[in-house]
Amino acid sequence: MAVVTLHGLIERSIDGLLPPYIQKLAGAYREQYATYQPADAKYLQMHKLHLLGVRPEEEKFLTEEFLRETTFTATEEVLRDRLKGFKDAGYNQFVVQLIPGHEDAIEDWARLFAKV
Amino acid sequence: MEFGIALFSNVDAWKTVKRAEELGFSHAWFYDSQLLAPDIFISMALAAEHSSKIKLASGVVIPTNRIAPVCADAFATLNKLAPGRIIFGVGTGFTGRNTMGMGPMKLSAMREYIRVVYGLLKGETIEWEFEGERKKIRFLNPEFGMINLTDKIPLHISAFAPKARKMTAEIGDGWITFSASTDRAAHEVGEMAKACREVGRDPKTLYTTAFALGCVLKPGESAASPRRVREPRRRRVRWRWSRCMD
Repeated sequence: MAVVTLHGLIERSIDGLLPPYIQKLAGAYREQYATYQPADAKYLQMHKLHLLGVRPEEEKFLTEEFLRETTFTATEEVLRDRLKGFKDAGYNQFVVQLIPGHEDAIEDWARLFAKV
Repeated sequence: MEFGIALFSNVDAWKTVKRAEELGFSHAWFYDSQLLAPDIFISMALAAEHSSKIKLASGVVIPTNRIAPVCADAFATLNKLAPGRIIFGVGTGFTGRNTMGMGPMKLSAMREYIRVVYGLLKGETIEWEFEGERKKIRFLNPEFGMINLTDKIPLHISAFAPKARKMTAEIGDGWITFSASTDRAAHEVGEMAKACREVGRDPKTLYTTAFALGCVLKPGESAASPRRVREPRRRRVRWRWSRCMD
C-alpha cells in the first residue's frame, strides 16, 4: 500500500493533504520515475509488481514512518483499537488485502478480527 | 462490523476464499486488474464453485474493460453459480487503467454503464449506445435457466470525491473506500453520510466498506525490517519485509 501510495502520487490519483515528509518522498520518487523505461511508457516499469511486491529500487522509500502512516500495519493490540475506530465510525465492513504467496496472513487477520 | 478479504484474481484464489469462509469472513472481493492479475470472472467463478456462504464481489469492475452487456452476462452467470451471493462492485478504474497509461474514466460514462448493466439484470429491454448507434438489447433466453436474473446483485460503488459520492448516494446499495487511517476513514464516512442526506437518503441505508492494506506485526517487530528469503528451487532471492508486502 505504501508503494501504491507513491504510484498514486505520481499519477495524481491520490489527493488530499499529506504530511511534508511524504511530499518529499514523492518528489524523490518522481525523480526516479523520470528514469523509467520505456520513456514513452514509464508506467510499465512503475507498475511492475504493483500490489504484489516491492521492486529493489523502491525499497529505500519504505521507511518505518511511511509504512505506518500509509498502511494498516501495527501490532494486534494497536490494530484492534484502530478497527474499533472504524466500527465506531459506522463502517459495515472492513476488508484486508491478501498478497499472492502470503495468503497465510489470513490466519493473523482472523485472529485479530475475532477480538473486535 | 463484518470482515472481508480482497484478493488478486487468480485461478487458485478459491482456496483462500474457502479458508476465509471457514474462518467466518463475510466477503471476498476480487480485483479487476488486467495485465497485472488474471481474469476476475474466471477467478470469481472458481470461488463460487468452491464456496457456499461467503459473498463474492468485484472489487471493483472497471467498466472500460468490457462492454456493459458482457459485464451483465458475467454477473448473471456468476449469480447462477452462487445465487444471492454476488456483488457488483464498480469504480472508475485507477490501477487497471494506470497500468495502461490512462487516468480514471469519466463518472458520467460509468453511470451510463451501470444503467445498462442493471437494466439488463432486471430483465428489461434497454437502449444501449455503441459505435455511435443506439440499439435495443436484452437477455434473450433467461427462461432456460442458464443465468440468474432473479436474485438481486447489489451495486457497490468505489467513490472518493464529491461527485462520485453523490452518485453513490443516488443509486448505490453500498459504498467502498480505501483507508488505513481511522481519522481519515471517519472523515470519509462522514462525507458519504452528508452526500446521502443531501439527496434525501438515510445514510444508514447505504452499506459502507473500507479496504486497507497492511500487516499484523509480532510484538517488537518493525514495520520496515527486511529479511532475505532464498528459494533454492527457484534459484532467486525474494525480498520479504516482515511478512508485510506492498
